[in-house]
Amino acid sequence: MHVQQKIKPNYLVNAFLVFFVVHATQIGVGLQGFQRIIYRDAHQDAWISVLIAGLGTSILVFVIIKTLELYESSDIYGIHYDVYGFFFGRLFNAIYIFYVLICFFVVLRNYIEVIQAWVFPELSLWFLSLSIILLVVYGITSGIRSMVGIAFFSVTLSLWLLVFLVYPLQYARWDQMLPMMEADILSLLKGAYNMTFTMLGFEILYVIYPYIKEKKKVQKFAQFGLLFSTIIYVALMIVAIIYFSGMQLERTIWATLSLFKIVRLPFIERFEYVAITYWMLIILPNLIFYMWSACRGIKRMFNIEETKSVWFFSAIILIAVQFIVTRTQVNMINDYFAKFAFYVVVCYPFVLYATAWLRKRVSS
Amino acid sequence: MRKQIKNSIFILATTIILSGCAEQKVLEDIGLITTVGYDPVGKKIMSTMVVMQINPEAPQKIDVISSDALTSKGGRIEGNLKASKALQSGQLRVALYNEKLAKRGIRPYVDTLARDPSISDLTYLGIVEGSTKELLKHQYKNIPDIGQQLYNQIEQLTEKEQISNATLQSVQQSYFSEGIDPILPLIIRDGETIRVSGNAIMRNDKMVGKLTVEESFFVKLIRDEYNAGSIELTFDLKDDKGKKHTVTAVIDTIKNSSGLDLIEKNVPSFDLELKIKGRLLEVQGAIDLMNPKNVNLLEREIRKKMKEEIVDTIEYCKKRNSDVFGFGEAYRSSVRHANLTKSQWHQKYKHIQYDLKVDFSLLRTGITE
Repeated sequence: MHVQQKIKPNYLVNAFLVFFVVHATQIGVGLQGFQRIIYRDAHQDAWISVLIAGLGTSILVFVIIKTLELYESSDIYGIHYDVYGFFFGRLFNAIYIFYVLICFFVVLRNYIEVIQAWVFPELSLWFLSLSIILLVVYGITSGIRSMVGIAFFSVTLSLWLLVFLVYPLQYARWDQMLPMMEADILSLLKGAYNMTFTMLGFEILYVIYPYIKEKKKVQKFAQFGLLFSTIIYVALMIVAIIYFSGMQLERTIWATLSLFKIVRLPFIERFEYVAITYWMLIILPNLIFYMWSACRGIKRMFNIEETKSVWFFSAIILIAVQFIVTRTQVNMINDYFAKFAFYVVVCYPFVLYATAWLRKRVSS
Repeated sequence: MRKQIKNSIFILATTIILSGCAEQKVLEDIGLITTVGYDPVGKKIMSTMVVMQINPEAPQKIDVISSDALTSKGGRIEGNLKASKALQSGQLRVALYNEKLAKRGIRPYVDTLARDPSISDLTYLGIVEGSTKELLKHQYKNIPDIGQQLYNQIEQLTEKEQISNATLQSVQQSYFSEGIDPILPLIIRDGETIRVSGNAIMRNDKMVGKLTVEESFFVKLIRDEYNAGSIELTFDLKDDKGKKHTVTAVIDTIKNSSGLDLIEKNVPSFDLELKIKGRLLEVQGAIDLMNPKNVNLLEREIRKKMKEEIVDTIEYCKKRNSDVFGFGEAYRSSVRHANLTKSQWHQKYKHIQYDLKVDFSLLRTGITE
């Protein structure tokens, strides 16, 4: 396997699209109900926690791109080979593939949970998962440029949903934001830690980096993408704090979706159903990019085409989803996943940067 | 080429599978519950449901079904046994609770509505003086559809700021808030009409007292940041010539703002300042409004009268230990690390002190003087 990747120019994408890729993979199922998890620790200061988490992601992406810049055009799989050697490189690659597959699994299962809890309680797991997975397979078989296109449209076509936040603002009780800065540093950080699950997605840079045309501009556009996501998270957190009362927010599982419950249009009385079903478009890039990351890993290690491995992974996910049936199981998976993700996405990039930097130092 | 065929198979497969697999709810085959009322029957509760009939040939547009069970959802299951169409609650607009039930606490019945994703957060809640079954089952002369009537009436009054907003969301908002208690409209059947007779004040989820329409007006002044509708006031007035009149004035508030600030936290003391700008709609009593002095006197008397009434209302709610004004929210939002709980606040609330300032100004007296 080559550490460096040569991508044909017709497969390269413009750097500004990184903005959409990063933003689209960040916004997903977590956004539907992150508020109460943060509120539990930081209470009315939860929005500060979200800001801290946003800052954290900015630093992480900075480190991730610095790592990638050490190599001219490589992804995490190539870097692992170079840094850890043949055997350990494969081991780390396997762990990373496992991680992105779990990501895929968690996003898929959480979205299905929302569909089942809100819209179609009778619809079976296998049916929902199969139809979504087929869409993902379709996306991946159409190639990288279409996938980036999906991310672009996912962002632009769902921006209008934000307009409807005006409705809950009519019933806002702004004094619920007070007293400010009541939470201590520890609870704020704990709140920020709990944002991990929601903020995930920017690690896609590790895999998509070789495909970007102007590598110098990646940092800029990735940071813009993060900034935009952070703004949305903070806005939704603040709206939730002023719209729900404290205990009520702690009881509301999907606060963002509940915010849409107040929207009543002359032609659609129950807007949340539109929002929930529309969410499919929002999570589609999540699913596609995670699955694609896994397939890329296989391609890089064993030179098996993505269009083949995607079927294999899809089958595994499809079977695995059937075992997580109840809400308690879903919550348990989410908790374990959040811990695992914290190590992979928040701690590991620093380790990888340090080792890659050392490796470069030693070889030169 | 092979890839294209493969892709089109995907699209085909997904569209075929995605279409028409979920449970269907055909409008003609379901009974839409628009209003529901709960009455206590011993330990059980009686649910009365107003069901909309979607059948052009039906002699009556609605069907009212009653059934008793231990829970409200159990009532729906029981009720379904009496219905020709499957009952669905997605169009529920108004939920009513018998006064007696409200005194025991409405939490479980509100909770079940909030838990159900098919029920809108904009469902209105109300408390009925007397039996809800009787109110819903009565054959009114001029009301063809009681469900529609109730919904329109409450919506109209809420939008015109005559009564506080009591949707499922806002009631829950207050219930789960540490420093404010919910307030629900009181509804009564008055012969052949339905009347909103004021507000029920709650302590947590239990109804503890009633406010008249006038008293509710003052609660709304303090509680909400919005306009508060109109009010009729009767008071004595000495005009500029020293003549005594008994005057009844109807004031329409144009703009009002309330400021509630905590000034002392040990024995919670508040500064309550109300600024009301209004216009005179009607005045009964021989008073000469041509004279600006009289207008000033009128203003002063209205101010005095309002202050008296507000103090009475606050004292009444204090006695009932129901903080519908939101004093507790003012306390919570200005005391750091208070870790206030609802029961703690109710302990403190009994002893609160407040300094009330009413600033009323009459902007105009109509197009005549």
